[in-house]
Amino acid sequence: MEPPVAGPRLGVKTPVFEGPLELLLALVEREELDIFQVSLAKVTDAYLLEVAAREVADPHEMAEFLWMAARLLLLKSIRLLPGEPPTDEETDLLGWEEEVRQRLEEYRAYKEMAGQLMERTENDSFAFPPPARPVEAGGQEEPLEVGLLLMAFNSVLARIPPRPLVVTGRTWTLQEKLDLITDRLRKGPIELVELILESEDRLEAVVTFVAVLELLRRSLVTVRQKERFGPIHVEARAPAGD
Amino acid sequence: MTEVSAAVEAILFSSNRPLKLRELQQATDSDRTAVEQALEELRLALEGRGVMVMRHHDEIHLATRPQYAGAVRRALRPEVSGKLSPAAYETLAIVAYQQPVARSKVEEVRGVNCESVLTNLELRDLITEVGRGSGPGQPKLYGTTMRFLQVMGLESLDHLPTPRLEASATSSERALTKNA
Repeated sequence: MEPPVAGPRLGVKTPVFEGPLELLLALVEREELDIFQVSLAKVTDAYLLEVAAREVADPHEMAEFLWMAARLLLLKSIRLLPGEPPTDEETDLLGWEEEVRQRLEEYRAYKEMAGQLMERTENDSFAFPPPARPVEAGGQEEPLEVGLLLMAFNSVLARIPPRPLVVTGRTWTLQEKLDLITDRLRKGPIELVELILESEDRLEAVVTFVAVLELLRRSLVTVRQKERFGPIHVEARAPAGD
Repeated sequence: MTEVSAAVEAILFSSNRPLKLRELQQATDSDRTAVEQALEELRLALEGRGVMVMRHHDEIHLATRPQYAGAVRRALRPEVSGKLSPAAYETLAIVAYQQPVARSKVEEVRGVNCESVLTNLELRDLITEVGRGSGPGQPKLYGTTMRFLQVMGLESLDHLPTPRLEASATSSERALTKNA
């Protein structure tokens, strides 16, 4: 009969074990035991010692540790009574031991890989990508850019008076706005928000905005925004090429 | 260097985000095989240089070589991201090798609840949801991100450190070699 092998407490760098598997692995490794040869019963005493020394706030977590402890004890008791043919329950337990070994081995492999990854970052292995730059929105290419325009539009809409009950201003058709904007663009880029703010009421603002979208769709204009949340400029596209 | 390869280099150099293989095909008006060849050519041409081609599944980008991270830092003083816990590294290793992988599998390997670790890694953009499992409740499946490669300084997932498994034919080993 072997004497209980308690040994010294684990002098490891990270004394906090997240789960029973991690603790068990640390014990097996301390004893330099081969996962596939060792009877887990061998580390039972050391395991119990560690669990007793732990301060576990979370009862659920503690239960996990205790469950493993109970099985280890049971396993040890079988090993201490040689000669008896194993009962069904004991056969079960031996199967469990094999399963735990497999899990330990798998866990060990990942832990080792984790260590290598950690080493990489600690030696600063960062691979820097090209920097983020101000995005120059190309005309109507990305649906995202239309979302940006919508945001700009929504942000100014509230600053324009609603359409009065008695219509005083003129009613714009889309074509009229298209012509007007195209004409203005010949003199240079227009700032989108300013253009919309020129509207006398919200209906006109909507027509203006739709006209801009329509010009985008026809690839007659591009929109540019030098920086996020900066002014958005609408400008005519060069008729040739592009 | 071939035309396509040079064009791909130019595109990657000027892009502030990873590009999909498909986008490179469209931009260079080439088929998939041609772009793959161009990428391989570029990869070889950049050997021994300060930048490298980085590839995460079918996303491609350029990145500085990890051995010059210190020099880049000294010159540009970029922001330093927070350190990861040992638990986070374990979880990352499992996700990297087993992807796409459900939380339940990660927890099976580590033997503890991994919900908060996974959430944390997701917030740091090191892992992301890459699909849904077919099992009950259609669990989220996790995979790594381009950011993961950048942080680890890896050219691609093929360059992950290889696991050393002593046992033969455990389920884990089969899974590991399959994904390596």
